[in-house]
Amino acid sequence: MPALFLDEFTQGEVFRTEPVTLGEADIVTFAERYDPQVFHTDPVGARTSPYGGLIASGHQTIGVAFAQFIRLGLFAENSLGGPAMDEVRWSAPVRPGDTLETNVTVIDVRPSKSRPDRGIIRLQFSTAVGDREVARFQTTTFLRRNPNAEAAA
Amino acid sequence: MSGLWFEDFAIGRRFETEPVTLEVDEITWFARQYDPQPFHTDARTAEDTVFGGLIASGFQTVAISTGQFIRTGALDGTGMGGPGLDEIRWIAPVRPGDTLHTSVEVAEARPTRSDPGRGVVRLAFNVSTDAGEVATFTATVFLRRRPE
Repeated sequence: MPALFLDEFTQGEVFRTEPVTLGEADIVTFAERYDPQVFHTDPVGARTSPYGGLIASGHQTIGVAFAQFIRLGLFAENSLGGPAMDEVRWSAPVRPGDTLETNVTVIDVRPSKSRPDRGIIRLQFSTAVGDREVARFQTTTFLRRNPNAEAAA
Repeated sequence: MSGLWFEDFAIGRRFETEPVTLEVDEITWFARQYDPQPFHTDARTAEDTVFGGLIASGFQTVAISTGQFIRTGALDGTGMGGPGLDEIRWIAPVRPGDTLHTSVEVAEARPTRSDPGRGVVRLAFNVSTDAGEVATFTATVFLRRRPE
């Protein structure tokens, strides 16, 4: 998809990302660096944990979801970075072999009052394995406005 | 070491974690998989972006800081996972060579009514470099209660 300027996003619009399957090695590699808890790093030790087996770090799940949205190419060079993320919820475990599918809904589009070249977009992410939601979170990103549209206005 | 029980997480208790220095390779390794934007994935292309150079993904900053808290051992054998994070604020960019210091304070602790074996603790994270604060957020974790 081509990159979009702030003004080209519409509140309520939904984007569906490409599915991703997480393997055991992906889960363990990530967790050894960033979330070294036995239920994320050790398939055998995880069996006697509260989860009864290996599960992915929630940080990895939200990273995968966000990356799949970025790979749609909608933000590309128009993104000016993000100041915030809110209401991250991990509602069900992600296990090796699970395929993650993410829907992204535009919940707010707001031009900046102080910086006419940009605005804020807020997105609601929902990631599921089959019919079961496993994670949700909201992101806030600064996005460029269309410089040509501005000149015409 | 063995971890702390729910009862050990008194409101206001603070934990200091080991500092971590982020280098280019780790920033780009993370970003290529989890946040593939030009200012995170490649030092050269990052020069032409609004940040004027490579910066770490905010997801990476958050994951490193919670990872360093895990490495204190406070949750070893007593942590039962976490349902979420709130109010993540990325205040300033993290660049290659920056050293992240994470401090964690217990903001809230309450027993779980439906399960006498566990409680819920909310931890306030503050991540800084030598130049100042770079990120803040809260994390919620489930913890085992001390057996009677």
